[in-house]
Amino acid sequence: MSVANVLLRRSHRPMWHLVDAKDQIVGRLATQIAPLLVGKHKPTYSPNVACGDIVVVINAADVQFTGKKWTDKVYRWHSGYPGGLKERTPKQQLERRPEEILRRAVMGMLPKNKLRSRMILQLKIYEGPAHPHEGDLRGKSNILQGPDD
Amino acid sequence: MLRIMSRVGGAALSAWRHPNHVLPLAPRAAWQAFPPSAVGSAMAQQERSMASKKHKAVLRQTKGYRGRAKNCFTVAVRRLQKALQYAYRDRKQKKRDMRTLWIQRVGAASRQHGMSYNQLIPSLNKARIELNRKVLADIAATEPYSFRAVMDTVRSVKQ
Repeated sequence: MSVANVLLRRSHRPMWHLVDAKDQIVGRLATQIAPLLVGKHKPTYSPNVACGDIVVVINAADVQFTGKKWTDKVYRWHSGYPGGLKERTPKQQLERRPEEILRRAVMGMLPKNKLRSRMILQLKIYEGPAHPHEGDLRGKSNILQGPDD
Repeated sequence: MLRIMSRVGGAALSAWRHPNHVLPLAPRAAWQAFPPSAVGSAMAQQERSMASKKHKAVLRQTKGYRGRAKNCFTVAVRRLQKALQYAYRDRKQKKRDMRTLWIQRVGAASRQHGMSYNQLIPSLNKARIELNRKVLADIAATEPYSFRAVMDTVRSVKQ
């Protein structure tokens, strides 16, 4: 008889994926990244165990929004202090820390559970074409072409 | 101002009402008629009431519960009731949840072979493969070559 959890926490070896975000639309790209982080592309998927893969994103500063979102979309959050509602547009965010644009998008697409904070750590975003993970990527091509067998 | 009460309980009241009438204290010798061995030692054997047995039975089942629910009967019994309700409901839900998981896994495996789940199922029917989702999920996870064989069969029948 099969066991529901074929994958144990210790026996999980995540695969590494490389994504070039240049000229990709933020949300649509995030849609493809999120399932990889969750592990839903694997037949050994278990919801109670972190079985996702690691995704390295480069050129995150060259990501695109359609329409007037660069100026009109607003990220809002509250600091907790009175009068502490803060706002920032993607354009401003690009100046401060461009990686956060994509990270926020992906974060919103992950399941809101205890594994989420762990999953987002597997997402490594870099604003330029350089990344420190040369050794870990074994020729994994851009995922937008679809995963290999 | 109360007088000293008599050891004989009923006379205490009259001692208060009649202060000039001093009642005799029961002589120590009177207790000679009731030696301890005849009465039975009050401390040597505790009588277990039926209530504490029932309480213990409940508390034995609430180990690991949070807060007072693991130690105090009145709280524990409510939590235990809830736990049993959840257990009843979830025995039924478990069957549903497992099927959902199998479908997710089969879908993932199927996509690895270039077909989506909703394309796979009618193709399986057409190929008269009656393997159920549970088995398919198991094969997909543990016997990848067998699963590939299934996919190939399905694709060949599709033509």
